[in-house]
Amino acid sequence: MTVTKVTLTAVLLLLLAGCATKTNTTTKPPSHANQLNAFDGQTYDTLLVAQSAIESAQEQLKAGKLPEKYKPLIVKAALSYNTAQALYKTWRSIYTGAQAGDLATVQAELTTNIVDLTTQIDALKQMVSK
Amino acid sequence: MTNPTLTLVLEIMQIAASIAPAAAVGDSDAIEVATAAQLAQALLAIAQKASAAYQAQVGNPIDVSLLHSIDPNG
Repeated sequence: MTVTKVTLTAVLLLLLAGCATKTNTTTKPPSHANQLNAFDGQTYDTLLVAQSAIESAQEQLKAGKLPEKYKPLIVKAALSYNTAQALYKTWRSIYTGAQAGDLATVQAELTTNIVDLTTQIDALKQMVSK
Repeated sequence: MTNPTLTLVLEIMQIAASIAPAAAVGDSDAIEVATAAQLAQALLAIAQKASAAYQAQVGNPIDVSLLHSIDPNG
């Protein structure tokens, strides 16, 4: 049904909203006075929005306003978000010297995690459109 | 606003707003339309919350403590 597809696309877009900023290097996001660099500020914005969107989606699901069929998608998004936010905190700790580690490796992992999430959601979109 | 995150949130709101009329065009069943309207409302609520979260932190210092793990099963 067209409406279902449109709705799912909207949900997918919503859950991807936090990820999209990673690939757009031409638009400068608002800076934070204490950000370590542009990557730091942009990732923080991304995660904060994604966190809010996922939690809100969970609330809508609990309230019965979103169909149960969206639950697996929301669960996967939450798992990916959890990994990303943990990596982000690790990245910051390494950057500031509070923790030892390879900054470039963690940054690459964080970026990969977000790409994986995008791929995962794209696959779900294709599954639904069949 | 040029932030791509906010741009996408706004796009979602537009899609959500278009869902109910789209349902009414090809399907006159009242239950279907009501369901679509409910879905649109749910999506709007999600988009509005995400947008509010973004707006609340624009220009403010980064506070990593605001980021927390989410229970996947909510």
